[in-house]
Amino acid sequence: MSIQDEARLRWAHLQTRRHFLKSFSAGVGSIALSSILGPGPVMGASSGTDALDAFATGAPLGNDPLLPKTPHFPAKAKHVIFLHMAGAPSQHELFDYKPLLQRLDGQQTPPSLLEGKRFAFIRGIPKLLGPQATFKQYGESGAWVSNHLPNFSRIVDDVTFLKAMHTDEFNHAPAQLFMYTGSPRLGRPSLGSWALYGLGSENQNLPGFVVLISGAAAPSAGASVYGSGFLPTVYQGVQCRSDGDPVLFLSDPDGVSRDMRQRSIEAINEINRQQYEETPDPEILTRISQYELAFRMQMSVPEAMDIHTEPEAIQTEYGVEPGKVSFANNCLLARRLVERGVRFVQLFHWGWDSHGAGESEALTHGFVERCKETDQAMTALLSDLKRRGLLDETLVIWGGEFGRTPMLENRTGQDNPFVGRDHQSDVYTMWMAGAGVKRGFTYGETDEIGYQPVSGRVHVHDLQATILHQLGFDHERLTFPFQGRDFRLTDVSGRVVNEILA
Amino acid sequence: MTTRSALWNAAATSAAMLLILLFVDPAGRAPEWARFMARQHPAIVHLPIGFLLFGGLLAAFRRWQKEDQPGRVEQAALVLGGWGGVAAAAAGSWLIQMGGYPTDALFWHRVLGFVIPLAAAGTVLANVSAPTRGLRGASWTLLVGSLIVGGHLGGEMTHGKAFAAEYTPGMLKPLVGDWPTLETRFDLSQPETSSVYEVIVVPILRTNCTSCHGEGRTKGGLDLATADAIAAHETDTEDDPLITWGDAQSSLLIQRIVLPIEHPRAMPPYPDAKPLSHADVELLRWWVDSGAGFEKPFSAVARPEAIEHLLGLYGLGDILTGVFALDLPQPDSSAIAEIKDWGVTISYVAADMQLLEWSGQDSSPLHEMAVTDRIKEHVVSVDLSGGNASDADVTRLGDFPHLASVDLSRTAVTGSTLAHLAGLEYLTRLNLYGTRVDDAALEHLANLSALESVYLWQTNVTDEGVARLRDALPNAEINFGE
Repeated sequence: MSIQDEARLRWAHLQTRRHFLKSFSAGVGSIALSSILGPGPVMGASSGTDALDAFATGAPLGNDPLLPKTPHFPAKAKHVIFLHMAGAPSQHELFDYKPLLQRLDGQQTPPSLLEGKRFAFIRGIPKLLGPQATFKQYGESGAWVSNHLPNFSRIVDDVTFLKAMHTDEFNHAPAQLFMYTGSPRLGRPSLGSWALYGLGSENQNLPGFVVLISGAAAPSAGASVYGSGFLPTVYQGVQCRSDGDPVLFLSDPDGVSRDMRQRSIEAINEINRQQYEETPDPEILTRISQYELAFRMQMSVPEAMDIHTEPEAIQTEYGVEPGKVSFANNCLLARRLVERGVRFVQLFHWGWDSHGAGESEALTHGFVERCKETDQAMTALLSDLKRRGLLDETLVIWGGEFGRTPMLENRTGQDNPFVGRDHQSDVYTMWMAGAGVKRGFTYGETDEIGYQPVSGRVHVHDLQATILHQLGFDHERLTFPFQGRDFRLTDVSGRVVNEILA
Repeated sequence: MTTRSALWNAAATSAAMLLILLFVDPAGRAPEWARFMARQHPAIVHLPIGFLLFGGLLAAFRRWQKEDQPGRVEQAALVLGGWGGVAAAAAGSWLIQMGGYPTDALFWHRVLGFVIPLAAAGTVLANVSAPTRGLRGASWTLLVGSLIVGGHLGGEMTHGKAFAAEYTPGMLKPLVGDWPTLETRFDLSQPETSSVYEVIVVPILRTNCTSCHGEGRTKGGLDLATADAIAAHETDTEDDPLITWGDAQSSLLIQRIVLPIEHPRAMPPYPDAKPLSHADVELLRWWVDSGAGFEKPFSAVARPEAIEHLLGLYGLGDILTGVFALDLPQPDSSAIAEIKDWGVTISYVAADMQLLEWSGQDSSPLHEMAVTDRIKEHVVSVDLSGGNASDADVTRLGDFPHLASVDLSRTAVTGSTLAHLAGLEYLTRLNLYGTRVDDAALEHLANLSALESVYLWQTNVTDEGVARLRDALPNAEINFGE
């Protein structure tokens, strides 16, 4: 649709339904307006709300919903980088070292361990599978790390391991949704959207919530894991690419100059602004700010996304692969974005679903490849953030949507040259670093074969509560009214894991 | 009633009260035979209150009718009420001996309990013989006032502090004021300087223990009134030490307070005194287990989640430290608006906190003194990274007294003016990476003892310069990018 057509359509709308509503309900609009500009669910009656200031001083409408906002209490984390290993990496081959599991390798699992358990694929009585890696202790903290992560093992004193994570879901899509939206079903806002809704963005020329995807496929839950749900869509994650156009459809179309683009956007936004004054639907604000953001991004995004301007040494340190889509490229991008004030950077790296049904899913092949693709880059990311002083205010989280069983999964029951493990939701490992999280610390403990938690369990809602806490929010108070009740990321549970906070 | 009989009544009342005062020592032990009577105090006490208020009503009615002479019923009510008060005072005194009531409210309740019978007898006398109306009025005022205050204190001890005022209708609230909340029990306003012992332990011991073990009496040879006395205490050989730091289980202090209340050695002795609350026991246990001793400041002792939770119940969940504990008035919003117009991002650190963060690539607004001086007390963080900051800006930052974080990374700063930051007592974080600072500049940082992290990657500093800074600031993390 051409710009003229759109303008004509808007005008038509104004002449019909809007017009009727306007003449019919002069007062209703102002009531709705005050409910939008009044003390919001985030702010309460704080002194520093931009919206209130603007309301009091009679500033023009159309306040950008992405302007920086005030948290409940001083934030430790101003940024979050979430490194999601989509498909759920095995803790038994990375961090949760169990010598007994090695000794029991190949033995049948005792029935007592299987009673009342449900697995995604395992049927009957599986055999136990020893770790397909060798382990050593590293750092002053003495954390166990496998030989698959030779780089990461150097920086274990900077991270906190959560060894007894658990989730409610044992299939990828619902578990990913659960991790990011607090619910296994569609429709809720994602973690990054909540963060942006609560805090706004520090950089008005870049999206506040950026999603970077690498690996052979996108996360199985799709774009909903970075969607805004019922929050205004201005808070949804924007997927960027490290190769080609960083953001699709951002460049000017052929035959349209930047100047003409600017005048068009100004005209459209003027119409939208009039419309907002009549029907204060927050989605109109979203529309306005996204037109403006897109225009500003035409200049700023190519600059921010161009990792080739980084010094050679830095590119080597991350293991950047020019011209490709890679986890390393995305890690370097993540740092550049955080440095420029982007609030939330979500990385997905696909391919950790090591069932052992084929070579790419084997713990001895595909899994090892994934480790190689990520080890150097995530280590470089942490070191780079640290020496720039960014790790003080950036929370880095690594993990999958669940973990994997200590048992061998043999789906067909026939001889299989590859080994793999099934999904495990009761216990798995994640790690966090930076922004007020303890360093060189391990929280949570599993039993002698890494099958059940012993202490220090952390539920996905607890993790979410903790992330919001570091961003300066009481997870019980960061709410949004929808369909008659206040919703929050952690729904009706969640506990801040104070034990891991420095 | 004649003046003579009123005088006799006053004398007899005084004598009775004197007997109670002399023979019932509040710190003593109530005799068996008096214990039943003691427990009837709450029942007995309401009878005289009724009589006396009834007398008061009659007197008020009489004054309204311009009648000067008190009626027989009014005098009878006063006499009966007065002697009822004597009985209540006796029962109350024994009840005090049985223990279990908070000492501060108890003191005044007891004083007023003695005042009321005497005031009643005095009013009887004044009614028949006082030369002026004023004296009679004063006598009535004393009596009714004592009844209200004394009765209120009694109610407070029985039902808890906020009982009467809790449901005061909104518009009357300002009259009754804010009653003290639980927060006032532990004063955590200075968590970095006050010790755990002083802010947590002393208040607990004072309400539960020191009326027998300390304050002049040391039952069982135990004195818990001072740190020195506690530290010096030696227990019998068959007992564990009073306190074994790091092991509450093996500390006699904890052992005794967690015994079942029926146990003969349980403390405080039941039923003479109430057991410690669960919260108090846990807090004491935490104090011993943490090994905090008598000196360690509150903020330096790790608080497990259960303790955070308990303190949260006392309204002390979020304990603010350092610059966040500053109590400042609201910053000048017109100054903030003006600075924002210059392209600086000014944001509040948190809702309900008057602290600001400053970030912007252009440093020139810092030098608009007339405007920025108005909020310089409020700014706790300045981020000029990647911008045009210069050494002159560093000089200017020294005027912002409460800065906790300064980010000058990726700027042309050489560090020659870093000495101007010397007065910043809260400065914990200084980011100088990607600047031209050198070893000479680092010398200026040696006195900034609050510093926790300094970033020096990609600068002109050398290993020796960093080593010297590490010696000067042993608690700070100096990141050199190595």
